[in-house]
Amino acid sequence: MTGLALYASILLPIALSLAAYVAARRSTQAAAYISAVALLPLLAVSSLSLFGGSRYLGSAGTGLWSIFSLYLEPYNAAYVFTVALVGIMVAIFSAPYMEHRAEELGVRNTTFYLTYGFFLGGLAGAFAAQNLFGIYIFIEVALIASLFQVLYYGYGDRARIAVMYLVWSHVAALLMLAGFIVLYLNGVTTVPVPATAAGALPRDLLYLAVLLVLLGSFIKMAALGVHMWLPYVHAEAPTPLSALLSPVLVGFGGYVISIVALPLMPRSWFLPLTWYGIATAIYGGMMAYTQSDIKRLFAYSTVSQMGYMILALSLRNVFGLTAAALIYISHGLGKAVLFMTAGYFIMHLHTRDIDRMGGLYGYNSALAGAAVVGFLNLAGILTIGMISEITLATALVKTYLGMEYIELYIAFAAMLVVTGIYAFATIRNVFFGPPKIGGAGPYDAALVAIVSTALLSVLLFLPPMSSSLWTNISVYVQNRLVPVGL
Amino acid sequence: MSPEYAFLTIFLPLMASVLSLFLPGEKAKAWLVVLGSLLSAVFSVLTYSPPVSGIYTETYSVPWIPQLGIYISLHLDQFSGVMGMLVAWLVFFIVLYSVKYMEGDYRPGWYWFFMGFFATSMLIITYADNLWFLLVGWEGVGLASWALIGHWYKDDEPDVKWVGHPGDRVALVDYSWPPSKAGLRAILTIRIGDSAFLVSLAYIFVALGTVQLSGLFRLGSAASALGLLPLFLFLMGPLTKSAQFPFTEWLLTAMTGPTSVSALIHAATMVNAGVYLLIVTAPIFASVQGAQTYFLAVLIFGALTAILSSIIALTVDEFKLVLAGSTAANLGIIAAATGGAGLLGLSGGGAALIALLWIAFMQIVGHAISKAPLFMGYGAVIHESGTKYLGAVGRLGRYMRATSLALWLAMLSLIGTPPFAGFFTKEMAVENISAGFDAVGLSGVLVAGLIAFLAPLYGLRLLGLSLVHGPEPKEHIHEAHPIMWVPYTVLAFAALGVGGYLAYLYADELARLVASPGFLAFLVGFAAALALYVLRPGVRSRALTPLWRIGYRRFYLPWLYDGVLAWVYHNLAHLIYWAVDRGVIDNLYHAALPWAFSKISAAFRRLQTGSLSWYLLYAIAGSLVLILLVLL
Amino acid sequence: MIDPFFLVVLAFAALAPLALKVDGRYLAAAMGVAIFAMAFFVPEAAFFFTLLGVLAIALALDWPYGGLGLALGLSAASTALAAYAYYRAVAAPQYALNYAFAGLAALAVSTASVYGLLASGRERENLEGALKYLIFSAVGKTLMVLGFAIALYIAPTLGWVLLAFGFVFEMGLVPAHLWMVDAFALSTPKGVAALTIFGELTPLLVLLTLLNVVPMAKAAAFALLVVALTSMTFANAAGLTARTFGRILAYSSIAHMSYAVAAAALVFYFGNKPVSLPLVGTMSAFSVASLVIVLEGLTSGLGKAGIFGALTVRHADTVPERRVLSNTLNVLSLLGVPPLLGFWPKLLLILLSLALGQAGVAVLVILNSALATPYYLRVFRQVVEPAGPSADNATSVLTSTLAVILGVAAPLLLVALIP
Repeated sequence: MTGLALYASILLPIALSLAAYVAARRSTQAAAYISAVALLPLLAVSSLSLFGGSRYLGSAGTGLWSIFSLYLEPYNAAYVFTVALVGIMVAIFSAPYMEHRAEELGVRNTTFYLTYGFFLGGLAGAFAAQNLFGIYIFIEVALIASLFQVLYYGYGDRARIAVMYLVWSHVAALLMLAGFIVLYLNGVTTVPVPATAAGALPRDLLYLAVLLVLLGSFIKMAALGVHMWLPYVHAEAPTPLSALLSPVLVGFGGYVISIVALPLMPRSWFLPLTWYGIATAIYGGMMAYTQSDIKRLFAYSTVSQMGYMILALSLRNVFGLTAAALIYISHGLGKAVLFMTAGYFIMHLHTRDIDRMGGLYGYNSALAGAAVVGFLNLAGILTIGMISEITLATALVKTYLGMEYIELYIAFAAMLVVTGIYAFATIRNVFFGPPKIGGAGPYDAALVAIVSTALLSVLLFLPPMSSSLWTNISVYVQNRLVPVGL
Repeated sequence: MSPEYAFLTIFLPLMASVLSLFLPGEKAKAWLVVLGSLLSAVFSVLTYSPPVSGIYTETYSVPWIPQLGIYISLHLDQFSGVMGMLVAWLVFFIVLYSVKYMEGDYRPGWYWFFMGFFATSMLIITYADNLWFLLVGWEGVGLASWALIGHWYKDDEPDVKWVGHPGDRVALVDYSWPPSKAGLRAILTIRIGDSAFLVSLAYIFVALGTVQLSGLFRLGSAASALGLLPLFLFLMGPLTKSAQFPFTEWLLTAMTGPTSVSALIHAATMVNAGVYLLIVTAPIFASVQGAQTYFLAVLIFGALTAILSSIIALTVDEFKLVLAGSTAANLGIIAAATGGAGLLGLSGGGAALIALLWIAFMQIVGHAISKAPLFMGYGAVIHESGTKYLGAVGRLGRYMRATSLALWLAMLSLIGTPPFAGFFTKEMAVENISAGFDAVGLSGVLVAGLIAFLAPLYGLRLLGLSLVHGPEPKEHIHEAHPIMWVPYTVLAFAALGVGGYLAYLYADELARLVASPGFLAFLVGFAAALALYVLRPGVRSRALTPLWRIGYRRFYLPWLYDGVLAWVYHNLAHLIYWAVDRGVIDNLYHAALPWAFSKISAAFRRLQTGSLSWYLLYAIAGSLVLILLVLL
Repeated sequence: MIDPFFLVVLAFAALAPLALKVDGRYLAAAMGVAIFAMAFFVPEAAFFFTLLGVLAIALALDWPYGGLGLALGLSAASTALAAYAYYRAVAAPQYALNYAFAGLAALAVSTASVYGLLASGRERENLEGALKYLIFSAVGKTLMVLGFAIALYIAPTLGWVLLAFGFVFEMGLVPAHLWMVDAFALSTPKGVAALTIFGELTPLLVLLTLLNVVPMAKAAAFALLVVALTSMTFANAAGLTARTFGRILAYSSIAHMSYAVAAAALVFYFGNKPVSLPLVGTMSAFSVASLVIVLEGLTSGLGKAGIFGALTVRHADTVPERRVLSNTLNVLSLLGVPPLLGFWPKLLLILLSLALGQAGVAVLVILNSALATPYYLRVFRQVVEPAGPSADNATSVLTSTLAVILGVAAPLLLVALIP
């Protein structure tokens, strides 16, 4: 029965996207709200699991049908929860935004709302899928759906960006698929990959598979070296999509690493991975600091946050994996707020150029406050971001304790400082200083979505919310993920 | 203790300020927060009655995230109890003051929210028994200070709201700081400390299994295995938060905030969080292997800060900057006193240590109650005279009698004139310092003497040049509004009252204190200052000008931070962006590879000539090649 | 013993005079119905009969074919015959030989009729494209018949090498691929539609039939493998910069044909052994290969038939002027996006090559499908971006629906297709 609930909640967005498609012909509002409502069951189910610790298991049958079997445990519920929550908020946000964008382009936004449900349904499915192929199939669905949105409602050289997006993500997905298949042929079919698998597989084959999965995930996460596509795509995508791509889709790579690659990885790979994570974080942060296009800036900051996630994953203890999930949540909410803020500017100020902003606090103080909270999530101050930062630090020290790791501590501290630099410098450049733009920002659905997302990220920080979600995630991690080969 | 009272003390201001967000109108917001802080102040007294002595005497805790060692837990003892009352009451007085001071400000919502938010965060630091919980308050005060330093976000009215002379440059680096920039400097400096602080907390949790202060204290010698690394990472937090050298700069430019903010956050409370934490953790760290080194470092950093900041206070030319310099100096004294206490206490038992720490702690109180009125008073002065420059307006004693009275009282207390509170607290703190230096075989008398000697110089200089002498004000200046002058006058007299109480308390030590070298140095300084700035002002010396300039330029640290460091980071980032990110990676993926593929593809398609005979030729040739392949 | 179904096809052919009286489309539709009806009498090939019958009807509905309706019907019928031959050959090995020849015959019929359709535009270009097709497939068929005879009675190896070349010519693999691009680009779209579904499915089915009669020789398998791998890479690379429907999709179908052939070659070069695949369970490598071949043929055929079937231009070397939304699904299926039909043969091919221990081949296939993404996206945009109102027609809608249904129901399909 619970399985049925899971299927229903994941298929509902897909089903209702057709309704949204029809509705979008008449009014964008209706379509947006349909898309938002379609995600409520998913939010409910994932919240039950995340805060209540309940578990769901759904199977569509045996043989080929086993591809579509789903599971929901507090750990992946954390991801699904973020997907659903951000999805709802962005749907509300999209009502005024897509109206503006559609008339700007002189097209209807039917396609947007048709693909919206597919995107989120596919994404949630990818996080909930229990079968390796299932993960691949769902993520491809999400990928293609988002592709249309880039292609039809994107900015700049849409076609080129769309090709870039398609090729990069497709390559990433296929690399993952190859890794999955190698595992599959050796009897590893479901996630989280069991402890016994590492022993059962022949060494070289095992490493090949892990390498493929890691590489695919790194591309998806836009880790240092293969990050180049992300600033383009996330900057040129229609902003509601950016608000979904950046926080929720990109983190998928981290999820895959945590449930597929980590259990099979040889110990000697972990320390390099730690450094790689820190390097990505620092690099992304510095690049974010150099940007003057606000959406590119946020895109680079996503790279930086994914560095945090890689770092968290590389620590192979209960705190690390918990931190990964928490970072996904905090970055998800924070970055959603920020991208929606950027969208608000695009809507009402028609600019993405930070040099033309400044003193915007006076333009709309509620917006400024929300954006500050968004940045605090990234910097790990007094939001759910702080919990993830504390967990991350603890995980780091737990794995690397002692004087001999001082350089690691320093690098970690530097990472936090770099994040702080771009976060607060951007706040200053955008919201403070002599006002360059007069007028007052309207209070519309977009603003409501932004502010409520920000508030939620603060609420999640407070007990009992943070207590229950931390406990549930860590208990699952402790019992199911950590014993696995670590 | 009754945790209900403590929690009310802590969270009432926050509740008030959160509610204030939803109230229309500036007045409503203001009075709501005033009410909240008044109640919190009252409850702070109830929390500490009956008084308890010792350290970590009573604790209370509820779990937050136990697996991570996060508990919402409080400890009540002579330190937190007194600190709590101090903070709560100062908050109340200053909030009351700013009802008038901030009237007609263009950002009331922001101001009143963050005032209450700050109060709660500061009180969390005061009472927290769990270091993670304390970290919440720690980040909170940092955030509030950032928010309120940059309160006047429009960077308008440079002559009142900035620090430094607009347009002033030293070797290409701006020497004037608009609020938004000052806020950025503050938060970034603090981030540097906090990131190390965070790591050290994690370290302590992992190594010792708890971050409960009382729990760590009870571990006793079991904690000795901790080692020095976490201690020094830990120290980074207080050093940056309490603006010790070389992190003093942010505190000086923090004066861009409204004066009420400077009084509350950057004089009386937030900057004291660092030294307060040093004090309450000293008994724990004393039992760690090699704690001597740690305390010595604290002592030296403190003494250094005390001396250098005094020199800055002596040379700068803005009311608030002088006060900020003296704040840094006093924070240095407190830190150094703590270090000294630690060094001395290591030999003696726990009780002795706590007694010595109490001395350092008293200096927090003495400094707070004398510095807060000074700031508020000069806030009124700036408010009335419309300038922030020392020497731009003078002879205010005639026009603002109440204010100048309060300023005199407070200043005398600050520089340590008997029988004010400052005298006792400061003299004893200075004794700690000199004893501490002696303990490690350095000449403590010199340091202590220097510190004590400089204080009256900058203090009387400020008063002399603004209240007694200086140019006649252009337009007529009148006394500040009662809502403004009552609070700081009350506080100034409180300094006197506390002084009396301390005199009664330490009656037997009086003789020793008066005879101490520190006090003699003070007398010398006092006499000199009186001569130079009050009786016969205007004495100038060419020879000292270069030295004066070094002090005036704040040892060129701003040039290093805003100039060199910022330049390096900025250009390094941009260099990497253009050279690596765009130059190599981007071109490789998005230019080189596509180009190669399109070339190959075009080459293949060039076979498409359209002539059948060629097609057949290709086919046959290919087949032959293939056959050869098969045969081989 | 002569199979009643051959007579039916002969009867169809004999209907030629009717074409002078009746408009061809009704004729084609009628034949489609007939083929569909026959599904009930030949359970083994029921799936194909249904599919082809419906397709023939759909195509007939969309176009006025004039006299050439008969050609359309015939090509459908011949493909059906090839399918029938294949399944009968598996079901009744003792008659396999007859069915093999029947398959070759079917191939001949389909070639002739498709030629007619290709040329039907009566323009110079149409004729040129059609002619190239005719010549190359003629060469191909000659080689096939010759090779088959030799393989049967004289020398299997030599025979199969000839057969292999025959198929290379017939399916337009490298190096004999060049005709295909012109044929696609220059001929009439409806002809190309027929070519992609009937003209390419038939040889694949015939290949399967022959494989059941005489196992492929190692040398030939090697040759085919080399050809297949080269031409899939070649085609996908060349497709990158192709601009028009005709040319892009020509390269795409070269690629698809090479995926299909690669499967067969793999099995016969590395030896047919039972492999245990995830999801499908344990089965012989050869039947997996047969699955790949049939599904790949269907993917390519259905997808392209839909796309070309909806073209309203005189020849396919241009971009269309009307939007056809249903074709988006066809393109995605060609690209191999799960869970559409096109995803499965690729997956099975990768699984097969890994199961046979050929990780290299698997990686090459993966790289190829990644390499192909940009030009499919181009087709996608050409399908969607022209001005509305959308010009979806029976064929495109039918094929896109099939791409979804067959894709989602793949689990059932596998069971239906394995003989």
